[in-house]
Amino acid sequence: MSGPLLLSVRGLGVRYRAEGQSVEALTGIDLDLHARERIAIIGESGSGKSTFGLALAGLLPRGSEVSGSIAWPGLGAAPKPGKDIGIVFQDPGSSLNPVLTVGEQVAEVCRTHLGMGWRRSYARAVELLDRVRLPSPEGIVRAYPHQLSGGQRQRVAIAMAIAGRPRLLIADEATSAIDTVVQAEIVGLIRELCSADALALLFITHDIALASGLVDRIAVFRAARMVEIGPAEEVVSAPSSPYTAALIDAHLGLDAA
Amino acid sequence: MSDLLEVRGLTKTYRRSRETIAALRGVDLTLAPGETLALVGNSGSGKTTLGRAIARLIEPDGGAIRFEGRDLLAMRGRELRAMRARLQIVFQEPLEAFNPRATVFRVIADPLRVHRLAGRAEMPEAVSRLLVRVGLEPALAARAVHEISGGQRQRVAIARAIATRPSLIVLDEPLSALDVSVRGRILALLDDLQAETGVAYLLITHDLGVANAVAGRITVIDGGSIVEEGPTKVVLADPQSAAARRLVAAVPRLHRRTEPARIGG
Amino acid sequence: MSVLRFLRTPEGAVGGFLLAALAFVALSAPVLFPGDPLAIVGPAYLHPFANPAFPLGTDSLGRNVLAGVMHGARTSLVIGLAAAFAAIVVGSAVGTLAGLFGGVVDEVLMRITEAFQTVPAFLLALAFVSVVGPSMGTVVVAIALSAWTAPARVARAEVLSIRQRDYVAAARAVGMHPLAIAFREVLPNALPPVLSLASVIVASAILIEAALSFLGLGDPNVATWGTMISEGRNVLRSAAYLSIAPGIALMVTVLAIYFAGEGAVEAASARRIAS
Repeated sequence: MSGPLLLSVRGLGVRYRAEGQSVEALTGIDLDLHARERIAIIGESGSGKSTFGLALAGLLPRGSEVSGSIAWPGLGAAPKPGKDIGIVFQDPGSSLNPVLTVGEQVAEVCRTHLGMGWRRSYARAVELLDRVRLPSPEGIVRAYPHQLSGGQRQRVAIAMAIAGRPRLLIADEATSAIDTVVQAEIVGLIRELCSADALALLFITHDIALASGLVDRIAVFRAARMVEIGPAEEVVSAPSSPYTAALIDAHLGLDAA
Repeated sequence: MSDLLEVRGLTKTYRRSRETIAALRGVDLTLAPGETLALVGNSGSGKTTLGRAIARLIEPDGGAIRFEGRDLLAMRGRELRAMRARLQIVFQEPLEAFNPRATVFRVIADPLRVHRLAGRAEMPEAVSRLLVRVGLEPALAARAVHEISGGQRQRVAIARAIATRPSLIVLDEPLSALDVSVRGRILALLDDLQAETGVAYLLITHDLGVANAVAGRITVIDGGSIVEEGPTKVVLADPQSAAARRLVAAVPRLHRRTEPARIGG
Repeated sequence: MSVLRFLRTPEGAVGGFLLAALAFVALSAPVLFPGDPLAIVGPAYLHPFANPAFPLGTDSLGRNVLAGVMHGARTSLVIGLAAAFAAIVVGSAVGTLAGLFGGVVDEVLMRITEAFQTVPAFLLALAFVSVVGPSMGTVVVAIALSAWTAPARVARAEVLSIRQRDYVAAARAVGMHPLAIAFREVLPNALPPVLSLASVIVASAILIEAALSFLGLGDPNVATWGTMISEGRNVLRSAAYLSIAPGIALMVTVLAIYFAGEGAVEAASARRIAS
């Protein structure tokens, strides 16, 4: 299912400095990610799961202290965020520019990272909006973000994330702000795009059940550390850490309550 | 037993520049005392509008609401404010639901002060009791609401809601802003409080998993109309409407290994 | 802590230092130069640094320029602060009422606000003082008369957005009285952006006061920088220092207030980012 080694993280630690204090956000993280592999990072708020995504994408805030190493054997060079790595954040309302049309924003990524002219970028934007299954992409390209629903905006954010033809897609709580029906559609879309484009996926979420149906491996983070990592089915069926077991018990499913 | 809440033919239309959006198209709903009814729907289905109309935060265009045998929509001014002690609401975003300058103490003291349930002298004691009741340390009272965690905030919101001993609390997506692991503990707290005080809940959610965990009955709203209603087990096992089927299919499932391979435990 | 953050920004450090110095000057004026700064105390046209008793020299009537500048600081700061205070109190009250009640109240209040905005601030002040007569009080009112419109508009915009927030809905759900909601929940949260206008209003109030005095419409019984500049203008060639000294004082004061305002905004936004 997975290919050659894309990413190798060794002993990664991140500390944030705020108000003169230094806070440990991540410590001693080791992780290998192969091309086309899908991995979920599970954790609660404050577990360091989002910091991990930001560290891989090179988007940590200024003043963060990083230790350990992040190597990209699969790329041969340091990755360009937006091109080699596509990122989708939780709130598409704040990650899209409110004064540009959706088409302009998607086209901008194609122009910057693929060196296309405006005309071709714009045509590509329409294709991408179609790929993320937005209805009538020719109309949507001219729409402004506020004219779209939350789920539609998240599709636009995904279109932007894949516009630079990345090797890795990072989805950071990408479905937490939307309702379950749209969430299921977005997860389906991510699954489909990853298969079609041979993308590796880092799916960051607090919902282990949601992740279990999507990824090959699950890593569980707690208080800046990785407490467990393994094949998704194994982690869900026989968790090795009591914390993971508690997360699984907390799932509210449709079984008789 | 007579109904605690009875909603009949409720309608509400929003006008935004040129277009009109029908948020509620004649909604009927009943709730018995001490019951938990889940109102389930997508975003845009009208469920939040309905919840806020019942809490008298939005004025509906037509229809009737009876609460504790009285005509809720006819109430005005002082009478309406006094009624609010009986009908409370908990919002989705616990941070949004508090004045950003407020302390935990002030948030919980407000309803006690407004409805004269505690004087200035008894207030610290009354606030402490409510904090303990929702599983928080009394010392938390001195903290600003923006300093505490999301789970703690939602507990503070619940403390504010139960302070006046209401007979109905509208819970508007009370869990969706919280981590999965915190959700169960909040649900357990809501369960406890219901067992103790007999309060009824109208639980608004888009997640049938949440509804399944607490509600005896589910009503599904779609496009401003109730499309399905019944006991939780029945609706989940055999959803009739397309909206309910979509909602059932969308609940994330734990993908365990097919053979039960749990050794030890 | 927030004061520290304010002083850590370069603008805040410079503005804070200059304002502290100005406040010291204004407060120490009656101690260092007791009595009327407008009294004749020495020979006329004494140049600066010529006589240690009159470090900044004397004017055409033999009045002490340093005493005038220091007492003038009192006048400028008192009028600037009083006018800004009046403008912000009136403006935020009007804006809050307009934003909260909406409808006809909003329409009427906002049309009145616009009517005041269409008249240039200085002309309005000039007309008012010409009619009522110059005194500290009328100058303050004259300046506040045009300065309240900006706080009113900002307060209204803030209230309109706060009105939609869940915590206002929560206060209604608790059963709070509408006036309690307006003054306990809405107004305190609408104020910070209104207060950030304060530095601009104070600075422009000081400039308008100086301009009124320059035209002879200031309070004739107190020392003001505008009057001093105006009187020095007649002898600009022979005794330029008479205009330059109060001119520099005016410039430093206005800059100090702008810097302090910038520093405060910077410190507030740094706090927002940190939290």
